[in-house]
Amino acid sequence: MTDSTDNDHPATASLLARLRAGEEAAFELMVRAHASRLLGVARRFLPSEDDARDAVQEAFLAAFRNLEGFQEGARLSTWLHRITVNAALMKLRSRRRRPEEPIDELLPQFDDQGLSTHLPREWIGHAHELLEREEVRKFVRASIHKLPESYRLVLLLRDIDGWDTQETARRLDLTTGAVKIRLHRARLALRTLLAARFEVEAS
Amino acid sequence: MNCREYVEFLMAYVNDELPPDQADAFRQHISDCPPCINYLETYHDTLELEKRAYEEQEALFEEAPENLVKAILAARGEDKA
Repeated sequence: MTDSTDNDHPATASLLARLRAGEEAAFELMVRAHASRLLGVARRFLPSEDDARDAVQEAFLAAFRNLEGFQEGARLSTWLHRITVNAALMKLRSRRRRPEEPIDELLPQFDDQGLSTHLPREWIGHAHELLEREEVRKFVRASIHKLPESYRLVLLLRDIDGWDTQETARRLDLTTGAVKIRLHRARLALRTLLAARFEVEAS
Repeated sequence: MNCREYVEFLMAYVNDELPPDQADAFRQHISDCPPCINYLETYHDTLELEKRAYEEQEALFEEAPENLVKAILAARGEDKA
């Protein structure tokens, strides 16, 4: 999430000064205030709890080493969020890549005339109704996790973390065109996974 | 425009990035194809669901796990050394 869910005020000069002076208490304050939320961010990218915790730890250390790079007046939570995403991406990248499942099966299918082979039906409820149930949120998160990694990362960065196309492209070493195509396909594939549960029965 | 092209242009349409003639063709297709109306509506539902699926988890704002806090503070000590 971006600034909208932040509930901290812009970092004050005094907290920054204390952090920059290496004051342990200020560092602990920062960790206690933000670790839980950042763990939530890291878990989105890293299904293993150990990996997610490692990423948060690395993010705090990186933040502390780069305090000079923090712009005063910015939100500390937003800055830490970004560093945590970067730490999570580094961790993913350091892993040996397995060949990825193709996404094609999750994309809508058409016949030779370009007509849908499966006619989309309505869903059992609108998003705001479905979201009232926690199990639905869990199901959506699990469905996002089912997307092939190269698509899932684009969807998370663009739609959930609110990064723009350029920044996502830069961070993932992709062209902006590739980011747009992957986001498009990731959304279609996610829709297919959700439709399997939410689409009304054929009459 | 057929259903395949419609789906291809969906994101650009939603982002308001289609040139006027293609946007017209897109709207024309919806008016003739009820399943594609369903597709557009459920595409919007998908966006809302994915964007809000993580909200509650983060809003809980549980206390940071103590062992994680300790591990970070210890790592910071080693990092400084």
